[in-house]
Amino acid sequence: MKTSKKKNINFILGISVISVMALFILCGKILPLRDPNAIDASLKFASPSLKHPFGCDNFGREILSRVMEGSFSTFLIALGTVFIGTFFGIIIGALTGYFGGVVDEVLMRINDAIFAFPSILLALLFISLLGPGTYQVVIALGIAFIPSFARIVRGEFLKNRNMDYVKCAKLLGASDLRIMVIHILPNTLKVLLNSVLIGFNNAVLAEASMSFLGIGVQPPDPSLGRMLSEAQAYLFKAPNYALFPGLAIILMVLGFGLLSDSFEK
Amino acid sequence: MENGVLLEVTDLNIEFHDHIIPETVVYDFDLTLREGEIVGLVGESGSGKSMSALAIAGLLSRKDMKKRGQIYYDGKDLLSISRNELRSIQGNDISMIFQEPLTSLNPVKKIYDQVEEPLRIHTELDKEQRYEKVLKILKEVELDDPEHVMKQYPHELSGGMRQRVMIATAMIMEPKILIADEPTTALDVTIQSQIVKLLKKLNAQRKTAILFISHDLSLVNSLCERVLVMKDGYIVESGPTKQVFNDPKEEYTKKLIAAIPKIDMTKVYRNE
Ligand SMILES: Nc1ncnc2c1ncn2[C@@H]1O[C@H](COP(=O)(O)OP(=O)(O)OP(=O)(O)O)[C@@H](O)[C@H]1O
Ligand SMILES: [Mg+2]
Repeated sequence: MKTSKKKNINFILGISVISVMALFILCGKILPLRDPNAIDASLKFASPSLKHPFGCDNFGREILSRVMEGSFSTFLIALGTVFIGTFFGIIIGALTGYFGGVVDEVLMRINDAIFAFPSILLALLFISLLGPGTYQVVIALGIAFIPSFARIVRGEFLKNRNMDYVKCAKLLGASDLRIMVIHILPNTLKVLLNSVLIGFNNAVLAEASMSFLGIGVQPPDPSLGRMLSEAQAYLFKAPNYALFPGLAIILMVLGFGLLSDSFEK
Repeated sequence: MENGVLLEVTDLNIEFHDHIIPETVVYDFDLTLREGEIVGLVGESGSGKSMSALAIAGLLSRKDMKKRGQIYYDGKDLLSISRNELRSIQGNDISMIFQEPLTSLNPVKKIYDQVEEPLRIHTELDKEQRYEKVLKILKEVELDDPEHVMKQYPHELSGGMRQRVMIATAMIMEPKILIADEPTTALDVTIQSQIVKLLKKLNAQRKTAILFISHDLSLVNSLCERVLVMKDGYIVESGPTKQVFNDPKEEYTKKLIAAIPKIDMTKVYRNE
């Protein structure tokens, strides 16, 4: 009883934090704020004020609109990453888990080999092949995320494929594809949802780290990670420069973390 | 094939290959099933009843198992036809229900979707026609308030209701053959007799032949015209139920019959 209450609180908190972030991103899209890339030398390191709530950076750019825009692109990149990871992860995991045999052996060995590298390292490898940039980051992180999703889905399919209800579906004449998509997949959604949320967190962090290293979103477009790395040099002069992008990352990770906690069994 | 014969199994042998040493679990299984009859299959645990039934239903994986013999249905040998052909027979002409209805139902699907599944697989009926059929079969298996039940999930139903749902799913295509693998073992006694009555009714109304697998010899005695007795993968005795029960030829059958619990009133009084 107590734990379920705690989960409910996590759920509500998580949803609230995410809603706040979503609203924040949306405001950036609709409010007539200054262009995030507009430079104004007279506003260099302007402190937070009514006119510039988050202050301005070393080029006199509006930090508020940059954080909004940066959050938006981080969110999109995380979304794309998780989409690629789940989509291919489901296909690979479903096929290997359901059919087993040689396909399973081969694909899972490859999977294990890829999985052995930290995903960020792997993404770096792909970036070095594809070159830096927003789309490249999505593809690189997406590929790096496939193995972990594939393993989770495979485990679920492996567990489900010998269950009586699958036997019954076979008995009714359902094809393998039908059994995989219509019968087993809905049973994996709960576990999948949880790993999607965790994956989302990891993707936000990974994107921030890559932009921090300068291989993600390219300047002058804003990105949370990139802003943090630029703000480093002015940490004492203008702490607000690092504070707000950092806060945006924390809120995003916190929101999805709380949500995934509340879905955990 | 001779008149009225639906299914003819001859010399069925089932050998497992999923371990290092191949293991045969069914030897020389023979069975003839005629239209509208109920045949019992009894034997101790592990004697190979379920394996034989699963083979007939086409459920044993072709990879891990070697099967010899023939299973003739409608002029076709189910062991050698293609997977696609087999699928068109499964759920359509041959259906099966199992001991544990809870695990046989998909936990995340509503009852309606589960009962409707065979219609989606085997027919081109539109949504309304499917709904009519589902409703009709749910009524036929004597579920109270079928409109409500179809919106529920398996965990919301009682064991007896779940087994009725399974029977509805198995019977919706009006199969010629229903294989029932200990369908009442997981249920309590009153529900057991209701389910048996229901099977009897469906058998009488639709002429569905039933292969009834059970531990419960008294049940088989009351339900089946013919019975097969299995032990260690072999059929040791078979024939009309009355004959087998009244005059068992095999020592094993005698033992099974002797093991039927009887309430001996004289004993009850003596212990007082
Ligand atoms: N994967 C397997 N590999 C080898 N042997 C198996 C395998 N699965 C089942 N068996 C064996 O097949 C034999 C027949 O099992 P089966 O399930 O048909 O028995 P049963 O008569 O239905 O028993 P019960 O009354 O308990 O349901 C058993 O001895 C069992 O140990
Ligand atoms: Mg059995």
